[in-house]
Amino acid sequence: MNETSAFIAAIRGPIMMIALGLLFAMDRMGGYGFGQTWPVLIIVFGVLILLERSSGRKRSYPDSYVS
Amino acid sequence: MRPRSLIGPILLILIGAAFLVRNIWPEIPLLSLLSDYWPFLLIGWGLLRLMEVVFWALQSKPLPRAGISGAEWALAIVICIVGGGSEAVRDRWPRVQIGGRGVEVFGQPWDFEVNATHPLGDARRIVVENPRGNVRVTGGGDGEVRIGGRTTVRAFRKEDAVRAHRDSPLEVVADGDRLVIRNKQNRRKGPWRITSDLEINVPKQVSVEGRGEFGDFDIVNVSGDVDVQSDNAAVRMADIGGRVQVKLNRSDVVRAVNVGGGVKLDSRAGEDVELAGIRGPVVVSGSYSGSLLLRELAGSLVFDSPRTEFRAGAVPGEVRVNLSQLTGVNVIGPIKVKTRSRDVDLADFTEKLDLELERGRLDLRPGRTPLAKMDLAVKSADVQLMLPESAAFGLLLQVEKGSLVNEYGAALTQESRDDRQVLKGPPGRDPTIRLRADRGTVTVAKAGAVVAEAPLAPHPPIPPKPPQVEQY
Repeated sequence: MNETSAFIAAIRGPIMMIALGLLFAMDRMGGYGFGQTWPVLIIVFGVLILLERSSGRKRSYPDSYVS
Repeated sequence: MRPRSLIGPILLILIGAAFLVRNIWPEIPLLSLLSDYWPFLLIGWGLLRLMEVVFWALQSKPLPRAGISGAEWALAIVICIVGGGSEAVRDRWPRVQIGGRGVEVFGQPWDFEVNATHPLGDARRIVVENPRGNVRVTGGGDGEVRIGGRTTVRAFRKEDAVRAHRDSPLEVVADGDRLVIRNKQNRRKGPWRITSDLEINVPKQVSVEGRGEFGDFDIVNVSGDVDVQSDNAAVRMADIGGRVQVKLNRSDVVRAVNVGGGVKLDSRAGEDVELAGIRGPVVVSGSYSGSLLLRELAGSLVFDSPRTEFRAGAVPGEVRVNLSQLTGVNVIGPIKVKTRSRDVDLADFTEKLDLELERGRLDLRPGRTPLAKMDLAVKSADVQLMLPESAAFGLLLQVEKGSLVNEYGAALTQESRDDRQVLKGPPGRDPTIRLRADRGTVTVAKAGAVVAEAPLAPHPPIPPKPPQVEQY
């Protein structure tokens, strides 16, 4: 398993948690409500998965194909 | 071996610290702080985990497969739901200052006397602005306005109470034809809560205007107009010479007895209403979850709520409306009733009745002659129509699916075609009573001989509710 992709997989949870907290804080402080901003979570999640895939592409092929 | 996260022990330490703080310094409003700032708990949690992962990666330690475990997510979601719920609760009651809750529970009350006198001068209108607390205005007396009562400050410490009271002066200002009694309760957020209960004695000839946010208004024996606006109040008025206008957000009871002018009442979320002895037109709008009792209205009546519309020319008898019933006795038309789901019972009414009912029971005993004209549209209800024998009327009843029972006698003729049943008669008369029912049972019967109805036994008035205690 590629080291970078493992790193991104590991920080995915914390980043989602921070994003969730930020959205609720914004809701609390009177910006956009969470009811409006929740799709941001899906976008962030998608971006993180995309990063993980693109950094660890080699993993998706059997070793014999690569070399 | 994979490195273990610090988050578990840190959470334990935080929870322990929170309980410790609550036990040792109960005046710190920990719950309200948490309900305000919990999203930052999530942010801090995420940052801590993020730093851990980065730190482990830099040290080339093996990384966990997921930065945040399933159990942690479950806890975070519980926090979101509880935190979000506390906000929803606060949005419903926007006036609740969470910071004051601790004072309500743990603080002590300190009382301060209120005492002021002001000559009426040219004033025709007394304006009372008292945001929190009860106001009682009594008419009768000489040319002076006398204000008594007390201000109560709930606080943790006496210094706070004294300071809050000092910052909340009671002003009496003459402004043209108005005399403004303004209780400038300290609006600054702080560990105190101020309420003032005022007793105001005014000369009888004035008009009274009341403005408040939370507290009751009692206004008695004033020959001018009365106008009350509040967020949450019980309003009781008696012996008012002029017009009455009341506009409230929430109220548990509004009562007006013996009013010379009209009454206009609007309450977004009201409960009970009692109006009796009103000589002008009455307009009641808004929604009410308790019971309405309207008696001895010399003028017209309009009751307009999201579920029910009721209009009448006058109500010498009484009308009662609650969530399941609408009853009227001795009502002068033209009457209009439009309601969705209720048992409607009208007796001794005149002139004209327009009625639309979706579901329920309908009992009509018009009683008096000449018989009222009726135009009834019913979706699904059991209808009983009691007609006096001596009355002149023409009948045309149609029931689409259901049954028609003629107990009146052979003067009426019954036909049925497919499912539809029709009852008509007597022959040669134009229909003055029309009914269309989609479903249900319609019964027409003879009422006893027309007798002069015995005057209604007066109903005892609704007992007053105890003064409202602030509750959060």
